[in-house]
Amino acid sequence: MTDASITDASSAAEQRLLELLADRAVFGLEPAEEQELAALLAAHPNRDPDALDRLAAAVAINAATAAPSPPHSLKTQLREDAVRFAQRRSDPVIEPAGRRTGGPAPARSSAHSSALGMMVAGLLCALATLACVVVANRREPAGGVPPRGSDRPTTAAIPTPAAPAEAAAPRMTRPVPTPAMLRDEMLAAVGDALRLDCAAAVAADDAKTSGDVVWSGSRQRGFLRISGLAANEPTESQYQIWIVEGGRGRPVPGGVFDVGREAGEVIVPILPRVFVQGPTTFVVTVEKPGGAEDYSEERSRVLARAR
Amino acid sequence: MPLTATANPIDVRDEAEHVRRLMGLLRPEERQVLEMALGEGLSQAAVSERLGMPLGTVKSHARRGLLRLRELAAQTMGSATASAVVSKGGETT
Repeated sequence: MTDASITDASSAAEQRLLELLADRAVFGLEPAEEQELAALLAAHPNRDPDALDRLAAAVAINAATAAPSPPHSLKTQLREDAVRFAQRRSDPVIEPAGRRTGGPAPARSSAHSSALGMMVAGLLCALATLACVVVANRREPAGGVPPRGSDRPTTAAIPTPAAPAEAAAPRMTRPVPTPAMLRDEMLAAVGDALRLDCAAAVAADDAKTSGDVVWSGSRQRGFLRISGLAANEPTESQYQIWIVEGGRGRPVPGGVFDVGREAGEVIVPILPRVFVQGPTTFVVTVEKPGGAEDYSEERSRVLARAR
Repeated sequence: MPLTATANPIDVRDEAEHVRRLMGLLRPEERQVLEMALGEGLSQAAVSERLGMPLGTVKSHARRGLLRLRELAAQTMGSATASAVVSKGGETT
């Protein structure tokens, strides 16, 4: 075997190791994959086997604390889980954290499970505390549903509420927040939330267009609320959001969306692919399906500009 | 500071806030899959069903998203998350 082929094999093994660690952190592994991972970790003793698990735990906490209002059942379940995990800290085999609600839990080595279990126990205790803090500081919509029916998402890109099978699962599930809920939460809870009114860029066919943009620099996301846009046929064209920054010449794509024929007011998330600093204008254009890479002012329909 | 069983809520909140910012740099589909899997505790099959994506695509988005987060955290050395993803030997894992 040549030096080059040895290097390639080593690189491939490291890449596979990372893939397995990532898979384990998010969805867990099958027993065969667990064995493969153990062998790769033995061959790479300097790798921290729990690093991606810790990162995944931070993502979970982030997602949970970003929820506008965790339901009471979730708060109770978190407290119970934290107590249960704390009680099992000295057990030889610890179940993975309740991240998944379906399918068999993957088997893990006892050494890894012990370390991970202790870490997750601490995180869940902290999460339970944080959930209480978040709830104490945020207004809870009655029944956990959007306050106005017209705020429900109408775009194809927005996930629908939980499927019945998942909704019935007893552990670690919560309703999917709608864009309207997330927008309201951002306005109420995020200090740097910016709100800009929309104006029609093409007066002739968008005279009735109205709406606004809410943007948070710290969260790097925002929401466009718009009504009066003409319905589009997704196979022919889609609306695309662009973010114009003061210090950057090229507008940043913020996602595509559709408007149905029966749609009244539409609320869509603004999700840039790169970090956005100091946005001054948000523009909606009509583009080919999937969106365009480059902005063209000729295709603009609506804009919201900071004054 | 790496997250451990003794991490206090303030440290965890700082960590989560940092991750929140980094999540904004992921592709929307990667962020969406990670939030559903890790934030809502949905299985791979459940995420696949809800988003209408093949199972393999869901797994790819989750994998790429988490590894991208690791890279971003490593690029912001000095933060809590960055130190949490540095391996024992000083490499990023």
